[in-house]
Amino acid sequence: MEKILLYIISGETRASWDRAVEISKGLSATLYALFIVDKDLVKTVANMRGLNEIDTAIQIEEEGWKYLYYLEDKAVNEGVKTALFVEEGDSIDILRRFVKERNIELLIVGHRSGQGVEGRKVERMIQQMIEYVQCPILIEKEGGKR
Amino acid sequence: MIEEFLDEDLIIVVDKIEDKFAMIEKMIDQALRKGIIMTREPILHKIREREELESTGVVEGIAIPHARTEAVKDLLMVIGVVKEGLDFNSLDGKPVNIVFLIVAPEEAKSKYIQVLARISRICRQEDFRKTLLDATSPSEVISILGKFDT
Repeated sequence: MEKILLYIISGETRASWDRAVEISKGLSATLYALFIVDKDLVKTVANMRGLNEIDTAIQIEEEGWKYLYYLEDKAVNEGVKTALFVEEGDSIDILRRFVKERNIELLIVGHRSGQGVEGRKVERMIQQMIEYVQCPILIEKEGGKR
Repeated sequence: MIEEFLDEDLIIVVDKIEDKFAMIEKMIDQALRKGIIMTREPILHKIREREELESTGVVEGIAIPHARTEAVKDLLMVIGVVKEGLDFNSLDGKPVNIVFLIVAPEEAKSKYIQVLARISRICRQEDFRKTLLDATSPSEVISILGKFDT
């Protein structure tokens, strides 16, 4: 296996980061790390915080880059080849395209259950991911079992 | 936030250069000449090590070589503008025109990541890239970065 994709949803899914580094190292695979500035998430967060969508998207993107660089720091220390990506739009569309265009062989995603409305949204997205993304998916349950 | 790390003496504009490591060396040497760093080899080694693992040519003509090392006391940022694109083995295969070299001490991880995140976010803006490429002097580069650093 040469190409593994870690889809970073939030900073609360760090067990999946460790798993992705561990697997990539074990298989000498390149780790692609992707953060998506999801358009629906931007709308929801902007409404919740009473901010406009542009400022909210900027804040979310910068948070995303921080997650990516934390992940990269960890991966590089383990000698894992890492490439970072930020994209904007619909998460499922982007994941489908990304996996197809780059011939990703394994998608890793972290999931923490029981987070109210946000938790249910993530669960729905993971269901869609399983349905539409054309590669094996490893769902790392944060603080629990895989 | 980025403004506090900008220094006109640490911005170089060149028309062309042979390869990415020549550019990185030139940028490190600039910091050495200005007395910001005392030694070049450990920094060069760390940056090379990182680049050999995977290119930091992010996307659309921008590269952000970066590393943490005890060879620097504070976060160092050197900016290089290469008018004629440079092959950086970028992920998108495009030549690089703007290089942000970022080096921080080991203990400054949080600040280092904040700066990398801010630079990466700004660099995704097309307006920023175009404006910066038109810059003709270090002071203009600082002014453009200040405008987008919000």
